[in-house]
Amino acid sequence: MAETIVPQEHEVAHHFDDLEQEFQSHRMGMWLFLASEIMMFGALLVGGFILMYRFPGAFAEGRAHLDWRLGTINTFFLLTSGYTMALAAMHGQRGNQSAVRRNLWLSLLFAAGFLVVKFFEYSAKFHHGTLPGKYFTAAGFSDPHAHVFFGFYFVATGLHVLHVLIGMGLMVWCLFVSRKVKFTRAYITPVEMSGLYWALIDLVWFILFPLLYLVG
Amino acid sequence: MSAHQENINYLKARKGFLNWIVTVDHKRIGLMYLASIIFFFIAGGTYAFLFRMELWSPLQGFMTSDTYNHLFTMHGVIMVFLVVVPGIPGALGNFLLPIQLGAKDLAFPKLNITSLYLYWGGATLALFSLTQGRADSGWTFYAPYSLSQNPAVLWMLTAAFILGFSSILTGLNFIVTIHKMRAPGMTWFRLPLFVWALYATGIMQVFATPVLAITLVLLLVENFLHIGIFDPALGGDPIMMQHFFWFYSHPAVYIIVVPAFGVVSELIATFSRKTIFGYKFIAFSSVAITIIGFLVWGHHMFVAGQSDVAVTIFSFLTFFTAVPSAIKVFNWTTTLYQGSIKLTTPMLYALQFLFNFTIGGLTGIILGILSVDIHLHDTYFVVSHFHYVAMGSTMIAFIGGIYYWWPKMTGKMFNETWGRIGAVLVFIGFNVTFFVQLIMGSQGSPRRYYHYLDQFQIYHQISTVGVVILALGLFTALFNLLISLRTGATAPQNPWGARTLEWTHAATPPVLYNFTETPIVTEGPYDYPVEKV
Amino acid sequence: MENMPGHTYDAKVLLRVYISLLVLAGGMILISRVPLEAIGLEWIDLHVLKGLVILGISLVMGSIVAGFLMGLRYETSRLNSLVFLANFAFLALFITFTWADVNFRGLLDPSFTKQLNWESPVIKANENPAAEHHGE
Ligand SMILES: [Cu+2]
Repeated sequence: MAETIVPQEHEVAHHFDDLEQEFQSHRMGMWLFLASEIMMFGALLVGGFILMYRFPGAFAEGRAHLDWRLGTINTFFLLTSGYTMALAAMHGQRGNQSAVRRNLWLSLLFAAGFLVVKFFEYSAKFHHGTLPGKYFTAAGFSDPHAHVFFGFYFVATGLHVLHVLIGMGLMVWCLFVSRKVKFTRAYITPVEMSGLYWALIDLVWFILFPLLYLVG
Repeated sequence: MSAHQENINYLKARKGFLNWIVTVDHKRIGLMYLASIIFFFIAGGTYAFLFRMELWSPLQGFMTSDTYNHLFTMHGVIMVFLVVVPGIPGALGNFLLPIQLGAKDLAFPKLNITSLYLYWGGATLALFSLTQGRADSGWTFYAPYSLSQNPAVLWMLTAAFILGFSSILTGLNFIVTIHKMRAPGMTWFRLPLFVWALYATGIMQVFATPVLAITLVLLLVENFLHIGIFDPALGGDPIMMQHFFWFYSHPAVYIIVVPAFGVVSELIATFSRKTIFGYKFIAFSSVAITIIGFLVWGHHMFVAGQSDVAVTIFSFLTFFTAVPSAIKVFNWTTTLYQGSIKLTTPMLYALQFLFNFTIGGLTGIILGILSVDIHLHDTYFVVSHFHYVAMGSTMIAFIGGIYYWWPKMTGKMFNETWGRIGAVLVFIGFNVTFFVQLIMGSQGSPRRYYHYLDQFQIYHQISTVGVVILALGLFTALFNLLISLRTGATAPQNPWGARTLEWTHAATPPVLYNFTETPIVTEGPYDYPVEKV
Repeated sequence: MENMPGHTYDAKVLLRVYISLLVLAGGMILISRVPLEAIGLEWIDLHVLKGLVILGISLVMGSIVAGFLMGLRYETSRLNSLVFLANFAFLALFITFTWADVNFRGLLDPSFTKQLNWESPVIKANENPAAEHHGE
């Protein structure tokens, strides 16, 4: 039974000398992984900027069809869940297992809120036919390349949503870990790593949000 | 685990097929990479062998033109994504990196086996694509041809995407290991040059491969959703696709060749019994190549319709790549000078590398010249240049490295005579195959053509004969190794008298956690005793 | 606390970070809603200025997250910061050179651009320009 498991202190893996070496290795590994993620999103954004440069009209027109208020709500959700993830790490360091879990649940809740808003945004686009490429059926656009904006919109936000889902998966994993492993000042690695990953999702959104919803 | 088990060699520590598949031991993972890569090298080589036979005559031989397109695509995809890119890091790097650092394992053993699974997954998808039609886009997947919704191409794109992640995770693991897992006393300038090379490779794997990943994703999305980023019919820009592709694939050329630099540095130092000349220059030139490698991707697009401004910048920057490469070649040559050179099998491969890489590098500079490239672009000259680097340099160094570390990996000595015969055959075969292609290309013979002009027939025939010799040499080399597993003499701990940790401190074959106690490093990797003249 | 890995999270700092991020995000949105036509300055392109200001704010937000939430500020070695900065260096190169291509095509041979067909056959524009226009 889950209740009977008493969280144990973490043991250093056999190939590391001490906690410090293990923790710093994990942090560096995570940063390198994030670096590759940033290159991936970054290259996509380079593509987006070049498209915007080539089709400014299409981008201005497409942007006017996105609802900045929904984008604002989602920005709030992401910022708050990032804050609660950091709080989870802080409580982990203080050894407060239940506060860690509470903050992980809160982060999950705000992340889910983000997805709900996204769902409404996407369904509105399906309704209006503002879809990528040859599926673009919306009337009333004057720029012949308006479909390019929505193509980029769906690819960029789609990839971002995929990362939100992975990030939520990591939070759920942390919840499982919190039953088995006792977090201490010396060991919060799962929460710390998930927090780093979640912060990346914030970072990407800081660029996507103004690029798609605001500038122009 | 008992102390007794920790002290027996890794091949015997845990028995059973399943224990190999789920192992997190970097040495076993390295061996599994090695076996997989040899398998795909034979597969990719078979494709090349078949279409080389077809090219014996300028008209249709025994296959249709569609089959021909399919075969050279498969050859390219398999050789690039399944053989040369994962090759040296996956097989030799995995096996040796922790031992050369004096560590028990890589920083992330589970991630390491994950990259092998991803490799196998990608390989399976690549093979699966064979059942879905004929991939015929070439390994470069250029738009708009790759947007024709050929299911085999789509599966191939997915396979390459997965293989990319395998490569990223390997690079990440290596970088962290080199930073965090060095034994006491193993300072940065006591690292073997193979480790420096893997470090530079890791940087490129982590920073360039994600761009390939997003390119392939965009190609898939473009195929299904038609978003209009690459497809000219929708307002997209096919040259953008080439920018994306080559932003990865030029660094990929260095992902391919830089590990070979590392292997060759080890071989030359060991078999000259001399401190390597210009250690720091070789080490830093690997890192310099990494940086410069990110600045020159546009030289693949000189005649694609790129702007004249970009073309000029890229041509100018391309010349800089020659500097670090030349530094290395000069340093290796100087190391040979007055060394007590032993012409063992691995050394024969190292010397071949020097010869082939010089040709491969210099032809690259020729191709970087704008006006000359307009003539040579998409000719056999390019094919030959690329093969001098990828096959003549990387694979040759790889085979040399396998021979060099074979005793350490398996505990068996190979037959030196047959090893040398194989090496000589490979050298002759390779150069016969590809040197004529330089001549043929400079006369304007285009690559990837199924029907070619009669005047090029003699070159094609010489090249085909060369391939037969090459295949003979490669199989000699392979069988020599395999036979040694049964009949080879037991290898001593340090048969070559080398100075790096895997020879001086680790048993042959190494124990489960590499060392019975963590080595303390007190000298550099090439501190050979100075002999009195 | 000498031998403890990583830095100690501080509740006050986290709260301050959270609030400043909210304020910056709010500022970004407010600036984007400023009606530029009402200001009507002739001597500067306000659209470009607005874009740059918004981009600047998002960069500040990004560095706050990287520095405090992701802990780059507390690290004893600069390595991870270097990795982070290297990303932007590589991406800057990528966009600069690609732009050098896209922007200057046909500079020497103007007839070249005419050979390129950027027209989109999919979208039949202007079929119904008066139809619904949301969000304006
Ligand atoms: Cu190149």
